[in-house]
Amino acid sequence: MAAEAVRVGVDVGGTFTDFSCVVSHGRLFAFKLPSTPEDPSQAVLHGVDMLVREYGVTPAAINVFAHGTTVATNAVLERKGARLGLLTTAGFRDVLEIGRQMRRQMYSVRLDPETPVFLAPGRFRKGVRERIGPDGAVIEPLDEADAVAQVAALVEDGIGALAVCLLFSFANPAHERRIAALVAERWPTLPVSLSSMVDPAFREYERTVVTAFDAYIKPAVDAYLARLADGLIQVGVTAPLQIMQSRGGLAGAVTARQRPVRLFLSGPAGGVIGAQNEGRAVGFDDLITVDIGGTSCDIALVSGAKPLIRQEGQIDGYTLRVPMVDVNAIGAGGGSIAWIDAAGGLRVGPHSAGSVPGPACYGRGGGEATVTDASVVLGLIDPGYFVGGKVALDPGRAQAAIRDRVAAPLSMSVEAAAFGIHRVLNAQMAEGIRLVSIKQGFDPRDFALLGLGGAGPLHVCALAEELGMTRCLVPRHPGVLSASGLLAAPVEHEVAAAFSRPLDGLELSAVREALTALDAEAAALMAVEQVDPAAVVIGYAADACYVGQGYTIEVPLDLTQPDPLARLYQDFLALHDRIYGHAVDGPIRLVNLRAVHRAGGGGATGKAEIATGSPVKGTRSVLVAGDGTRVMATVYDRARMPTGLRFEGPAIVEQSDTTTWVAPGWTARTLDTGALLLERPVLMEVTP
Amino acid sequence: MSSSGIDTVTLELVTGALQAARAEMEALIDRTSMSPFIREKKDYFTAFLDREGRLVVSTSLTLAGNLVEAILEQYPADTMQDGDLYWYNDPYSSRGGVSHFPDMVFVMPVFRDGELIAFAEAWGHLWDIGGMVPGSISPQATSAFQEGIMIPPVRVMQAGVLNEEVFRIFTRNSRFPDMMRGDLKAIMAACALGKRRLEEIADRFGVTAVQGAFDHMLGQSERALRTAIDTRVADGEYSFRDFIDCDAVTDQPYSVHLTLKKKDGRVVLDLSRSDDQATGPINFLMDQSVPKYMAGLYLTMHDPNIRMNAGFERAIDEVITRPGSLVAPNFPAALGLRSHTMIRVNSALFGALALATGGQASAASSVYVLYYLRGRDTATGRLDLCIEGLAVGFGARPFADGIDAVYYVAQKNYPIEFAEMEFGVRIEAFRVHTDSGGPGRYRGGCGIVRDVRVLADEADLGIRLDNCRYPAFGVNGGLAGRGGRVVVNPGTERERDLKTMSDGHQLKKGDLLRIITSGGGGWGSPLERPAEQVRDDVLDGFVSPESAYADYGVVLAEDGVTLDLSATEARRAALDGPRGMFHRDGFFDGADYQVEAAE
Repeated sequence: MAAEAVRVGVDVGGTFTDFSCVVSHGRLFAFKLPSTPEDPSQAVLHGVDMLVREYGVTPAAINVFAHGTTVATNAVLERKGARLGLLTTAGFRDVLEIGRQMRRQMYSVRLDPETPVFLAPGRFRKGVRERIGPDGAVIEPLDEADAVAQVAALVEDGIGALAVCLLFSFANPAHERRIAALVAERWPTLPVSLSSMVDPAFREYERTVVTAFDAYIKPAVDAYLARLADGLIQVGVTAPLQIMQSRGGLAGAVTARQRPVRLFLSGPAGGVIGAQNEGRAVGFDDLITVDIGGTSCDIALVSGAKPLIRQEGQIDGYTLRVPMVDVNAIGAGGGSIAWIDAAGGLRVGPHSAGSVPGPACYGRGGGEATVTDASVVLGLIDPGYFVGGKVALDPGRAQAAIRDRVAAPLSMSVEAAAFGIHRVLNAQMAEGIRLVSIKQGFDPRDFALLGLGGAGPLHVCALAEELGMTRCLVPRHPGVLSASGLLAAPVEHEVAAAFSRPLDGLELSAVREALTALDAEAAALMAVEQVDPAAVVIGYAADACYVGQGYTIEVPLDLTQPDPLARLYQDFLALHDRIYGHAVDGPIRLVNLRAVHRAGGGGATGKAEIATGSPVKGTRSVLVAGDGTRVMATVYDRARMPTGLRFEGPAIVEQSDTTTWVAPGWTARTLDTGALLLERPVLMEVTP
Repeated sequence: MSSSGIDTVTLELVTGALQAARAEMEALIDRTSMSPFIREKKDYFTAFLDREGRLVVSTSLTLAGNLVEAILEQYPADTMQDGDLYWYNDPYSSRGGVSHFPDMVFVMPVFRDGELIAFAEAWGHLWDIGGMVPGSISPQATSAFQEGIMIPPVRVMQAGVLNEEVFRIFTRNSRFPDMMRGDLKAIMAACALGKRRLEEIADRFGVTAVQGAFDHMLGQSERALRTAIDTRVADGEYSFRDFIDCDAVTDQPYSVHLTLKKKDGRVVLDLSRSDDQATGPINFLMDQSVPKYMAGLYLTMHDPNIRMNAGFERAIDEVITRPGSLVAPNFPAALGLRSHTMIRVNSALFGALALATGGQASAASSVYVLYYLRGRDTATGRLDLCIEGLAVGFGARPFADGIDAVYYVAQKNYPIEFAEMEFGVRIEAFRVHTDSGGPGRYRGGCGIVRDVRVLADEADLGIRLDNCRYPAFGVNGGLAGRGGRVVVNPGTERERDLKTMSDGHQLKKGDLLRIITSGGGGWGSPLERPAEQVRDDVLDGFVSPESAYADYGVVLAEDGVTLDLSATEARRAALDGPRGMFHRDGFFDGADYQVEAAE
């Protein structure tokens, strides 16, 4: 065993740190440890120690060490980033403050500004004399003495990082680069982020926000990844530390530390790649994933074995123009509290009972009715076998909470209330699924639904029925899919640049020239990754829009086509039609070009051993309608289900980290990979 | 079960689906429209109305109401067919269905099983619909006939077949027909999407559940507003008058006078004492729903579950206006700048509420600013139209500062990099207008400064910047905001101030236009604002050290950073506190200011 290569994926979440380890002969170990939020690297190193002591892994045998982290996100949520200085073109220091002059609501008791001013309040923003025009020409040269003086004043005020965002730097980065050089000479340890490097695209406010976030989290991310890399070396792990980026590709820690703004969705991206890999292993290239935890639900879509990427996402409510896997997070999960609004409507979430005090049935003092309490009342969760029996649930408390908080105020039965809680939650999640599918032109009926997280497999049948879907997939280890996704992800470097040109009359040579420059940049990043250059696959894309439009669509650009630009135009029309429902034969323009270099990925996920003994544990009565209708469900033990086992719903499949509900009318079967496939016949279709 | 007979869970599900569908309509317009107004400035609106034409779910914008009544008069409901699309932009023939001509309203009836069940509706502000100037809106207009083409309610699509002729006539009237075609397509596609989503919702939950949800939402909003008025406003009459600097054509100021009357459960808003209609285009053809929606949104803001809809209309019994007045002008009074009056209806309502609640209402906000720079290349005659909306400061609230630097609501400015690429101008500064927010326990929001260099050979300029002669008033001890300015070539020998509401200024290549916008009023005594907050405002550029000393009584030490606490205490003790409910050029109570202004 010691001689065999071991690949390790570690995903650090808020509550648990998940490990997925595959030995070269295909055996899989997956386990969870409590996270150590003060210094998340402790749990990671603790897990490595466990691998050594309990699973006999030699640290030197680890040849891949891939990591998903929330450290970037937490630095923002907890406001633990650097005291940031922001340097702008003189006259424009308030761009971050003013933003787009926008607010979403007329009146609200919410007080927060809609721009992330906390990153750099006015006193930490300075203007510097210089000006570049829309065509990249220098209108006013950089006043270097002024730049140095402004940075010196900021350093004097105690900044720990500097962001630089000058007007039109995407068209000509010379002034920003010169400032970086001036700063490096005088303050060599001050982290600097340049907008022309971080996000070289037009719209100064959006570019400023990305650049400021990048610099803000840089010291925290840098310190954490340095600490982790050192710790791994100390315990004898020689494999390079790789970090999952928000787009779903890995990058060496050295590169990740330089571009931390790309790490906000590090964790969820691992989940999406894990789902993609899980689906591909059983021949499903089109998947919608629903990952339901205690407080939230993440929804994502994989189409043609590729995760959907969006060009901008959200962090702490602020829009951030960074490519990331399109994960739609909803504030609703197992711990979500059911409540009655002022008008007598039943609502679920976004408030959650968390793990302390937790749902009422935990018996830790929580009196609110939660989704988990409803699941207990409905009979979906066995109070004696929650988290594999480690947490004993009190069904009496679940009943009482739902009776007092929901059923009595609405004059309905406890059963109807519990069923109503599930319906409201399912509707919210179905709406979230519609958002990532129908609203982007995908018909969910063409997709399989993948249930993840502690509560996902409990809801997949109901969600599928609401959306007209007929297939659901539950991986063998739905709780650690983010960690196994890390092992399936490619190393990836994406480089983009502004390229604002109408397609009419555009010479392919000009496009090739721009892409060559991007390739050089991406290749330099790839060179650090210790991957075989022959294994690198290069893809190109252009952000394009109709002339006059403000939003772009990413369109693949295939230079091997006979007429790549004509093909791009046709693809643009098809995409516009799919997403927006109309496409006219009008002129389009390119806005940005993008090169993506990838290597590796898609490795085998490994397989857990199957325990011996009968898979049937017994039967349980489950409520299936608000009027009190019950069915008798067979209860299965997931660890003992052999490949090829086939059974009908109603059935419940229990395992230590989740419970799967196979509703009446559904058929279940275990696949070679250990995944559970749920299917139902295509009956009368409802419109999704 | 709810009062409507539909179970509460289903109601919740239908409500959520309707809101999601409306947001989706908005996203479609946002992403596929062509003109800068829509794509960058977000000047559009989407809604669902019930089969009676009552607004149920919509964008929270209080510019107009009653969007389908005029259509139903021309085309009775029983003549409508599936696949019809109706269109208008005429405020007069829709009696305030929209409030100025560039807003194009499209309405699609939605049918299920042959029955009309609802309407999907969307409007967007088009870039140019003809009229006396590029962009169609001019501060100089004195007649609706100068403000572009008027479309009465027409059926532009019948059972799915588009009337191309109407389209051709319409687009021939625009200086930018391509852009307009793109925007119209986007708005129409949004309507069609809304219709499709409503049909799906009706299929999923049943028509009865959808109607039940409509009634439920209307009832919810009605009850919430009634309760708010009952609990917060004692029986009586509360009057407030607010002023517009001028009508942009003459120098004469105009006022909106609003009286809130409450007696024995009956609530009336009387605007009949407002001034006569104006010569210039500030007239606001106001649907009766508008002040009701303003009151509703403000008084229910503590409950985010309450939506702006026709339920608010039922909670206030009557709105009284006088034909021929500023808020009920006779045809063909010009309407292009109606927001100046619309926002004064809002501030007069807040003034009346302040009197009714012992000061528990927001201070006044300034009116958003627009400038119209029409550049010409002398050699080619090419036209470059630059219309930018600029942010102002909003009024402080009884519990928080006013919002700094916002335009109005849900509308964005143009990125500088966009303006320079598209408009033939160079923006040379964009910053906060220091000291423009009215001092107070809660500070009024600050306006902004935008410097625009003219790059075209020559250009003429229209501008609408208000709240200079009559700055946004402060409430309950808060001071008024400070007004703005419009200056050409500041700091040079050629420096000149322009009238802030005017048109027809000639500029030439190289001129620098500086637009300084007005701030919002403050709330509560500035002497009670924590000194640390005043210091932070100084450091961050919202308040000058001079104003910190003069208005807030806050003294900073030599280093300009540290508070001098003992000097601050002494200074604050020496300053007078407030002497009236409102402030603008000194303190006044409800009636006083009207007397001064009338002199």
